[in-house]
Amino acid sequence: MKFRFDLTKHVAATRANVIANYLDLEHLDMHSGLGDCEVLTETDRCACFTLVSRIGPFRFRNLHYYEFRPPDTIVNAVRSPLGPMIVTSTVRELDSGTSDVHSEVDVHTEIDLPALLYPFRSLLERLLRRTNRTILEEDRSILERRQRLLGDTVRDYLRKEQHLLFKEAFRASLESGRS
Amino acid sequence: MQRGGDPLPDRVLCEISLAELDRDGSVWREVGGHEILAVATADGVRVYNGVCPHLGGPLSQSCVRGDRVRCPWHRYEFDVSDGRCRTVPGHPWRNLPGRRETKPARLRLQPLRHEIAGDRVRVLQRGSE
Repeated sequence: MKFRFDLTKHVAATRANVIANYLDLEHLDMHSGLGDCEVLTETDRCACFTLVSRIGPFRFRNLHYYEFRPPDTIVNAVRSPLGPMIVTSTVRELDSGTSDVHSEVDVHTEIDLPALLYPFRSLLERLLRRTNRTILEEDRSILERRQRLLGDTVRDYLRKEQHLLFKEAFRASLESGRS
Repeated sequence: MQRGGDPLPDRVLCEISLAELDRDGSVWREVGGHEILAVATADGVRVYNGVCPHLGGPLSQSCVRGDRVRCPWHRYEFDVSDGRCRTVPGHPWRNLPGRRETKPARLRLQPLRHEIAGDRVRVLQRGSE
C-alpha cells in the first residue's frame, strides 16, 4: 500500500556542494545512524550498494539503487525492511539577492508498505522525518564549513585520487554549467 | 615583497606555551580564521594547519592518538611527525573487483611556519599573507 510524504531542507551551500555531498559515499560513516557502505556495482550515473542503517538498537543492511539525474536530482531506491522505498531528492540553488548562498532540497519519499504496517504509517513518517533531520544536521556541518572555508569550489571532490560516485557525470554537469 | 621596499615582517599568529604542549601532547588554536594544530613529537614541535587537506574537515574535532590524527569526516589518518597521510579507511569500493584500490592518498598536512622563543612556540604568518 503506497504511502508518500515530502519534506524540504535548507542549507547554506551551493547546489554543486550539496550534490557532491550526496555523491560522496566515504563520508557516510560519520553519520550516527549510517555506516558500512559497500558498492556492488557502478556505471556512469547509477550504482548499487549496501548500507547499514541503525535505528535504536536495530541494524538493517539495506540494498540501495542510486541514480544521479543531472543536474540536480538524486534517486535512491531502497529495499528496506519497511518495504520498497523510493526517495527522490532535488536540489535548487536559491537566489538570495546577497552574496550568501542558499540551497533548498526537496525530498519526496514513497514507500510501498505491507498491509500489516500501513496503520502505523504516521509513526513511521515521524521516525523517517527525524532520521532525515539528524542526517541533515550532520551534513550541514560539512556543507556550511566547506562553503565558509573553500567557497563555491568542488574541485577537491574531482581530484584523481578522490573517490566519488559518478565523478565524470558530475564533472560534465559542472562544466556545462548545469550544477 | 613590497615593490621597491623591504619584505614585510612575519606576523605572529599566536603563541603556545611548551608547558601546555608537554602536558597535553597537542594543542589546538583558532585564531583569526586559522585553525592551528601544534604537536610535541619525538623530533620536536610540529605545527600544522588544522584543516584536513582531503576535503577540509575539522581536525580540531579529533584528538591526536600516538603519532596519528584522524579526520572525523572521512577518517583519513595523518602522521603528525611529517604530516603525511598514512591511512585511507576501507572505502565503499573496497570489494569491487578491479576497481579503485585503497592506498594512502598523496596528501599532507600543511606545515605552518613557527619558531621556538624561550618556553613558547610562536606560530608565524608571512607579512605578505
